Amino acid sequence: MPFSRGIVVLSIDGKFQLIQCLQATAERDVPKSKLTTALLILLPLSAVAGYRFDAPETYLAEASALPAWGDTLERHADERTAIDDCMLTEEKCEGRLNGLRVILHKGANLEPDQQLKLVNRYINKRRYRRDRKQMSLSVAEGGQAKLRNHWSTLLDFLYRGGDCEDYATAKYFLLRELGYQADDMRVVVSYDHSVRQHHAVLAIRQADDSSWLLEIDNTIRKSRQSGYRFIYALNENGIWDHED
Amino acid sequence: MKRMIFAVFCLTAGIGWAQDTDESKVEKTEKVDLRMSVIESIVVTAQKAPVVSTDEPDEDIDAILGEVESLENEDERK
Repeated sequence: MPFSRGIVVLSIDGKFQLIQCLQATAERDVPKSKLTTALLILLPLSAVAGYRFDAPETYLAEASALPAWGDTLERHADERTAIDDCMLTEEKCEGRLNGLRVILHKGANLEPDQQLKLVNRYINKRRYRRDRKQMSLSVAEGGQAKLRNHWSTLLDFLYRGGDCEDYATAKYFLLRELGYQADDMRVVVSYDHSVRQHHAVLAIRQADDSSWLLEIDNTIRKSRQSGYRFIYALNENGIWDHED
Repeated sequence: MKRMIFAVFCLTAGIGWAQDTDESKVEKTEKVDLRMSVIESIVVTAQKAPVVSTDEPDEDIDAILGEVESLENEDERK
């Protein structure tokens, strides 16, 4: 059986081309057992790799460059007054702030691993709700309205619930209240091959430069393989672009 | 004369470099704007509903969450 010759280069970002195979022709009569098989990786490497924080070349813009996210950061900054008042004086806590006060006071005394578990489970207990109604309509040039993601603040989410990006942002803001640094966390939007949709998850940087993903089913994915293709990430310090 | 030619050459090269720098800045800005436009158009729609936790039990965490749940139930009764 004749084989064609080509070149395959497996690059670190998972792109691939045809690699060199042996060309066997009928005249040469080369046995199949001696043929070198070409390696064709069907899935890009990036789809299975863990999230990486240490890629400065992926920095795209300041956080405010994404208006909806910038708006969320401003609203959260305003809400922090109510949160801080509640932390100082129990009488100033209303509704969900009572529970939040317990989380922050008692969570502060836990080990880091336990803090992540606590935050993950506390936020994941909230009601899941598709936020199509909460999506903001923005009128683009030419007057055509577009649906855009609505990013929840912590209190938005505690009172109204949301969907996966809201879980991720709520965890981000709550961990910030517990003292985690913004530079060690990013809300990562990715393409989930298993459901063929875009998904959002919170990534936490670890001391060994690996990252943990806080999932919506209470698992904390510590593997260097994620099954996601990362698209972009954001925190209050910037936006990172992970697509070519 | 040679100095004049050299000065003109340096001036021309400097102007050319400045123009290139400005053009590359414009290109970079356009690229960022384009990527931001693409990013804004991505709508997160994965319909993952929370499932029963498969996480290992932790007494400390369970106690804290139990206290929070009691407070929230009490608040809802009001």
